[in-house]
Order: sequence, then C-alpha cells, then structure tokens
Amino acid sequence: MLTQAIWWSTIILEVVILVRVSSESLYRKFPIFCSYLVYVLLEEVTRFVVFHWWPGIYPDLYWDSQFVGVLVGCGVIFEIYRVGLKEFPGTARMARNLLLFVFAMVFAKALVTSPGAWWSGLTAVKLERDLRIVQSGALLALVAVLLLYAIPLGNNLKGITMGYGIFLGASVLELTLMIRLGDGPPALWAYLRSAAYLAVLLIWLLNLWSYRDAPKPSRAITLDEDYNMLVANTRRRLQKTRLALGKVVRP
Amino acid sequence: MIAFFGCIGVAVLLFVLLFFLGSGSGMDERDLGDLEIADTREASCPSEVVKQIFSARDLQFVAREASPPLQHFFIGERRRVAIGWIRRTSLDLRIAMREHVRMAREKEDIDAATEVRVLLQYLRLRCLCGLLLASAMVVRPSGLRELAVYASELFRRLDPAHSLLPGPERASSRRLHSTR
Repeated sequence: MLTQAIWWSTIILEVVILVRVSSESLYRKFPIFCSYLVYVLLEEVTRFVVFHWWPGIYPDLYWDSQFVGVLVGCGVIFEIYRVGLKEFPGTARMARNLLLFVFAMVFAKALVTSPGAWWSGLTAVKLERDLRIVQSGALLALVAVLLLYAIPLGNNLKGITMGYGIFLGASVLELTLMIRLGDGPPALWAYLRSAAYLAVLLIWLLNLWSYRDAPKPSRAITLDEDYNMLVANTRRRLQKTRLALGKVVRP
Repeated sequence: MIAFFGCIGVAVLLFVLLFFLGSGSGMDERDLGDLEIADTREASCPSEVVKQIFSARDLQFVAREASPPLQHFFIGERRRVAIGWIRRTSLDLRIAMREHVRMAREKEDIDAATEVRVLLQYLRLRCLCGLLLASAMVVRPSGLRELAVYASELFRRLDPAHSLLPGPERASSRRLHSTR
C-alpha cells in the first residue's frame, strides 16, 4: 500500500514539475535536466506497468533503466557546470580539469582494485553504487568550486543542484548499506531512497515553479592586474599575516 | 571495491556541502561587504603593541605589586585584547582570501595548482589562528610564548642531529635560533 502511494506520488509530482517547466519555458535554459525529468517519468510509468502486468521481467527492466538513468544523470551534472559557470570561463576551465581529475581517480581506483571485474563479476547493485560514487565525486568537486569562488546561482539552478545532490547522497547511502548488510529487513532502508526522492521532487517543484533570473555577479574593479600579479599580491598579504602571527609565539 | 566508510564519507560530505550551498554560506557579496565595513572601522595593530600583548614583562611587573585581584584583572584584560587581536587577524585573512577569489574567478588564465597552493596557505594560517585563539582562551596570553619556548627547548633536546653537534657549533646554532 505504502509502495503504491509513493509510486503514484512520484509520478504525479513529476508530471506537475514538467507542466511548470514547460509553462515557464525552463526547458530552454535547462534542456538536459528537462530531458532527464522526461526520462524519469517514462521510466516510472513503464516500471509501474511492467510490475503489474509482466512482473517476471521487472528486475531486468529495473536495472537496465537504472543504468540508463545514471548516464542521463551525468548530463545533469554537466548542465549544472555549464550553466553555473557560464559567466566565469577561467573558473569553468579549472572546474572542468577538477571534474576530469575526479572521474579519472575514481575509475582508476575501481579498475586497479578489481581488474577485470568491472563488468563481469560485480552485481548490478555494486555497479550502480560505484557509478553513483563517481557522480557524487564530480558533484562534490563542482559544489566546492561554486562555494569557494562564491559563484552566484539562480534559484532554479540551486534547486536542481540541491535536489540532484540529495538524491545522489541518499542513493550512495542506501546502496552501500544494502551491499554491507544484505537485503535485510525492508523497514530499515528500503524506503530511504523513495522518501529522499519524494523530498527531491518537492525541492525541484518549489525551485522550478517559476523562472527566476540568476543574480548578476558583481564584477571586481581591477586595474588590469594579471593573474600572476594577483596571486603574488595575495601571497604577500598572507605572508605578512604569517609573520605577524609568528612574532606572537616565536621564542 | 570501494571501502564502506569511504562511501558513507562521500555521501555525508556531499550533504554538508549542499547544506552550505543551500544556506548561502559561500563567500557571498553581502558577507564581503560586512567584512569591508569592519575593515575600515578597525585600524591594524602595530607589531610592537602585539609583541607587548603576548609578552610576560608586564605580567611580571604586576606580579611584583603582590595584589592577586589586580593580577587577575590584568590577565583577564590581556586575554580579551589578545583574543580581539587574533580575531582581527583572522578577519584580515578572510578579507584577503575573499578579495582574491572575487578577482581570480574572472581571470581567464586562472591556474588550478596555484589556487590550491594559495588555498592551502590560507587554511594553514586559519588553523594557526584557531589554535592561537583556543590557547589564548585556555592559558594566559603570555603563556603562549612560554609554551613556544618550552616546545622549542624540548625539540632541541629531542633532536638527535642537534645533540650530535660539537659544543661551539651547538652554541652558535642556539644563538641563531634566539635571534630569529
């Protein structure tokens, strides 16, 4: 009964979000995210139908569609990066390098730890968990850059980032616990991702209800100072503070 | 494949960063404005005064008066001044870093490795400020220097390379150390 209620609520919420996104023309601003929403809605409806009429093929359909969902989700992270850092090409380049580094590190670790087992030996749960870890790492790096460089995000993009991040975190937690503790009693974590996903849909609904322009970043007034001069100036200021602190405790 | 606690750590870290993103705790413009106002209100402290705050000389003078309430009052006041100076220094650091990121984010040739180095230097100094603040709250300000002297002496005694030096070299090394 609860499963049915969650299922219907997610489908209804997804439809409402898509209606709002269409009426506010947000698909022009966030085409990949809107494609992701359409995919998720189709996936939910298909799963619902198959679960009731052809339950025998449901597990295969679930994991196949889940895998495609992970790949489309990577596009959402790319869109957050593309839209969020549009005004800051230098920072965008740095974030891109950081993302590539994170992807390379996690994939390399996965391959080195279990060579040859990437596709064959692993269960679908482990595979999904590892892919979600890669996505989480990429989103972590991106959010760290956004926070560190005080990149202003509009409400729409902030909502997308928050929602997708919470979904990723909840997925990693649920899949990790599932692998560690086995299937176990369903009450423990079977509804964790569903509950988190409902919360995510509510966040998206609230933040995508209407189009809100991203705040314009205030431009720093610089006397054409190049990057190396800027770094030298900052390091000089930090060094001055270090000397002042050193004088306090130097015997 | 990937350790259990590593996975949990990634998820928790993601939630923490998202919390900061949602609460707008990044280095936003409003926050920077507040810092700049604070910057213009407070003048920086000359290094002689700073040295005096953390010096034991004044405390020794007060101790000669043999008045415990006066000594208690003096230590309390000095602690307040020391904490104020450390907070002020920490604020200077934040202003410097915020100005840096505000300008650096617009540069086309921003370099990730250089940015990481600047960030690490900044974090080290913030940690040092935090450590000093905690120490100033626990021990009296002049105690910080006494602690540093004690740690330095201890290190000198424990350092095997130093203890192998012959007498005159050890003496000159100590003289160099004391003039720093």
